[in-house]
Amino acid sequence: MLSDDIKRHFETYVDKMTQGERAMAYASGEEADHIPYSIQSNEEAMAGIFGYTTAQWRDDPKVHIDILERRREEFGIVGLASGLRLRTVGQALGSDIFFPEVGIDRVVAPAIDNIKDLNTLMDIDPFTHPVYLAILERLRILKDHFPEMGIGFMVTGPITVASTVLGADKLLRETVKHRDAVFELMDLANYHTLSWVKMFVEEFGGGGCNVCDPFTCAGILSHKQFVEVSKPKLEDLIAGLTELLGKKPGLHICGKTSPLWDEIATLEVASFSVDNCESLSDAKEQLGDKFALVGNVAPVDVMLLGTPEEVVEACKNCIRDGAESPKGYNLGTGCQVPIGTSRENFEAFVYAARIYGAGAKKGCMPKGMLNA
Amino acid sequence: MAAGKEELIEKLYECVVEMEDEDVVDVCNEYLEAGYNAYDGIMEGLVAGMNKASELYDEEEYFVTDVLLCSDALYAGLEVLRPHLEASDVDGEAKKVVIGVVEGDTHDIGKNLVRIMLETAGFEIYDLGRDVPLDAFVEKAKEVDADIIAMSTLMTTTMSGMGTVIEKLKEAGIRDRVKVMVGGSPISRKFADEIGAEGYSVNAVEAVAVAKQLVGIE
Repeated sequence: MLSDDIKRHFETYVDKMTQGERAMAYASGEEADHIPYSIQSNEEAMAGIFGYTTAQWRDDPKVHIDILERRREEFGIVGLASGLRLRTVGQALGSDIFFPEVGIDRVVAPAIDNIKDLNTLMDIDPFTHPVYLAILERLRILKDHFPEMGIGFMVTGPITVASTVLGADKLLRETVKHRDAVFELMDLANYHTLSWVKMFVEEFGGGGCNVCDPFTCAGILSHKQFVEVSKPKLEDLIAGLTELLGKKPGLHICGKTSPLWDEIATLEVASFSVDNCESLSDAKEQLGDKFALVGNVAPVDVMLLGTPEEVVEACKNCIRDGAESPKGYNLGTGCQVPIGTSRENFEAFVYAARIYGAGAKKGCMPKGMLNA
Repeated sequence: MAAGKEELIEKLYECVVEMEDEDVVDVCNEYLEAGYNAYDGIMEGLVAGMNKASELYDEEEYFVTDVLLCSDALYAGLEVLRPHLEASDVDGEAKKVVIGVVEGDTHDIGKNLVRIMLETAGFEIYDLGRDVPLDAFVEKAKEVDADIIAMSTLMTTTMSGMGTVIEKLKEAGIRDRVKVMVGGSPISRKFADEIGAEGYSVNAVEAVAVAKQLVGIE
């Protein structure tokens, strides 16, 4: 019985490498104890597993610490996650954001109704903005409690930020009607993002960074719009991050991206996290020699609605499709893992990474797959 | 010399396909001033143009932005021509769709595309907008005697609301009178089956085919 195997595994398993050692060994072409993995943005779902609401996790540092401690104890998952979420810069620029008791925040009203009002946002100072300072303050508390944990943080791509400031429909129309103003808005987005990262680096010294840019997907933008509107400013952000951090960020775009892969291939990123609606083996063929790949277990059909058996099977399939990618591969979910995902499915994911991803070396099939 | 009816209808069609939301108003006025029938202008000009835009979207010649801009021209034209429809033009036979983004979510591009496509395909649309309280779907469906409730969401956290609406339809005793279709990025056939929704589509063009099939339109 798989459930018995998983139970036994969690009772007896001892990590042979820390997360940092594993990442380092894998990146340098050495054999790692198992494949590096990331269950995307899992803290909200973890809060649910430990009996907390999203609001408690968000508003109470003690709850946040408890979740991270228990996640480490019960699942072996470590690391501090921070940064600018999809709507954070929008919030700082004046968009009305609603934070539900359980669930993901949403834009109630964008900061501006008309792109012509963009000038009203230009004087907002990121370096003194309470929205940004609060994120650093939370990180300070977490780092005091978990000094040994590394920090990973996310920032949001400029066109996605722009959609939270102006509203998605209007932004799309303005990419045709007032493109220069859209560029100004995206520059403002990058200025705010990079200002926060600057403050972060000054205090914490750096960390792994992931750019998340859902609005850039091929379900919303045409290839032409991506090339002419989104990509130039995304490149600016990537260059700015690389300069501040001394290393390239990763990139995640939710949804369909394969029509854009010819252009995405030219981005100077360290990794690309592939949504589950795309084929990981196609991504390996077309992008695998450019950067590392991450993905792409289905968050809803497998993590939320599937059985532990289906989670293990999906992880094996992903490792089979992705592991031999020349620049490396991390087992991951195709997008954020949903709130409501069961403890058993988290355990099954971690179990699969450790068992079937055992003995992982960049560009090679892990030894663990011999048992698959 | 005043332009002929066919010529103006062709211009209306082109205004929509070419996303001319200002020119379309002038052409509509010219069309009305010449005394031509508003219904023909709408169906053969504006709606035919929007159908062409949908076709181009399906063929990946047009993208979301193009469809939105075409629909701006469509609605600008409709605003001028609609008040001039005659009573006999409205047959009252159109199938009714209540559409909205479920409570907790404000992402509405997908819903707007589906609304545009369904409206162009001849459905009568009741658009509840975004972040729609779940009871509102049921109440509106009862009020207008809807044939279809169409719900969308982009968020995994709000998907379950779709299942709740179906339960509420049962409680209200109207589940067998209305078909339910769902869509949105995290939604799958598997999820639709799980909550008991009859219809699921991956995109806006397919949504029209699904809606037609649900209400038995060839």
